[in-house]
Amino acid sequence: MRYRAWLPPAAVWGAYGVACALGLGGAADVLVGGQAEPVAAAGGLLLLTLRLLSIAVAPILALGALLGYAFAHAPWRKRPTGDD
Amino acid sequence: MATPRRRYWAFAYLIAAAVWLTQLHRLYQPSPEDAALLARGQAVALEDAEVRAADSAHVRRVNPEWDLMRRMYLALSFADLALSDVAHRDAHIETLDLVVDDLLAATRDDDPYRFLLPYALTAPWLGGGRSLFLDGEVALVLAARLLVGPRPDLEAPLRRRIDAVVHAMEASPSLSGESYPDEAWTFCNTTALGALRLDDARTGGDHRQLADRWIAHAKAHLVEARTGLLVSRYRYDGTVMEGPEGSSVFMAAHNLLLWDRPFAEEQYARARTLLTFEVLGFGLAREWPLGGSADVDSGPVVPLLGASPGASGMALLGARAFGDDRTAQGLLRSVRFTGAPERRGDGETLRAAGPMGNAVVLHALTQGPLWALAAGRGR
Repeated sequence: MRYRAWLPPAAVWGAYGVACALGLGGAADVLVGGQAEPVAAAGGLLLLTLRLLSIAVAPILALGALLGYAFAHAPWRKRPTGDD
Repeated sequence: MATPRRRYWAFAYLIAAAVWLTQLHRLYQPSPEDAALLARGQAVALEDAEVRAADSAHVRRVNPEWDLMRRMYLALSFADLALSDVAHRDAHIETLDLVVDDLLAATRDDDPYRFLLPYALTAPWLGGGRSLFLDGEVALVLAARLLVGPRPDLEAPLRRRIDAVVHAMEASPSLSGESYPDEAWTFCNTTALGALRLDDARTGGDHRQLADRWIAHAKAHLVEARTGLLVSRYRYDGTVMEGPEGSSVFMAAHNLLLWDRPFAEEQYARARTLLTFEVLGFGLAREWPLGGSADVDSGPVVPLLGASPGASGMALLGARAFGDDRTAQGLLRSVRFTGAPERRGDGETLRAAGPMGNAVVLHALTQGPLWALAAGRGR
């Protein structure tokens, strides 16, 4: 898949992960839920895992996509890739 | 062979991963305000009888033992706060009394099965039918409350629990009371010893001889040869049933601080070496030094790493109790990372930690003054 196709979702998920990491609440808190008890409910554990993955992985995808885009358009590149 | 284009992207993601993963822990630095925020969050929850009942029902669905343990950790937390935070002493005692009164109401009928897992019904008691888990933890709560300040109505219930603890331990061939039928735990027996020490500190009583004999027996029979750690579970006669566990050994070391500091420090040091580790600035603890499977005490075990929330919470308590700031900081980062802290007003709750996790973390953050007072006054 061309990187431009998945750059936007990666950026959105990455922003969400960063928001969770910064404790900006909102979506993260909704996901975790008021009485979520990871040990008690498989659903709670799944949501917690998704939240942690969002924090740990999503920003890498977003940052990697941005860096990749920057590299792809860097002035030192000699050969066009055909991506753009 | 990778094309130049693929190499660019691989390099980009390598840099992104290196930057994010090595710096992520900086977003979860513990703050000196954490204890006060968490305490306020718990106090607000405790003020509401409906929330107290809901939290109790909630933890019981996971493990009925936690319904008692959570109350113990909350009581110890607010007792410590009453001693350390003099400006809000009355408010902390008020919260502490809510926990104590709720506990007395819940334990009035002395039914040990209320707080035990169902397998307690499958075997006969060998030592008189009382659970040291119940007597020890209730005694610790009452002794802590009375060490903070007078409350004459608690004297008789405490005396009854202390007598039950001493009788259970003295009558046992392993000097250990049963928590479950024919099943003793180092967690529960050291907690009971802690209750004796807190009681001695206030009343001038002396249970030193019993504590010394229990510790001598433990050193001889309850320390696992391979790890040097106290085992977690054994039969009434002292036969070991289960080796060391992170969810037990850190609490045991914390309790033993009151009676035998060198032994407690040795246990903590070994447990820290064998059970705790750090990944990218986040501290974690394993439930078992030599591997095992997830159970109700450990909670879910993180694949590959073997870390568990039960062991990590108790490791935090141990690290704080033994002044191991570096380990405590790493574990606290993990608490804030995985616990999903939520601010409400001037309080905070770890939403993903549940009522039990919140109580353990709060106790870890506040512990100290009560133990120092008891150790200082003890014989």
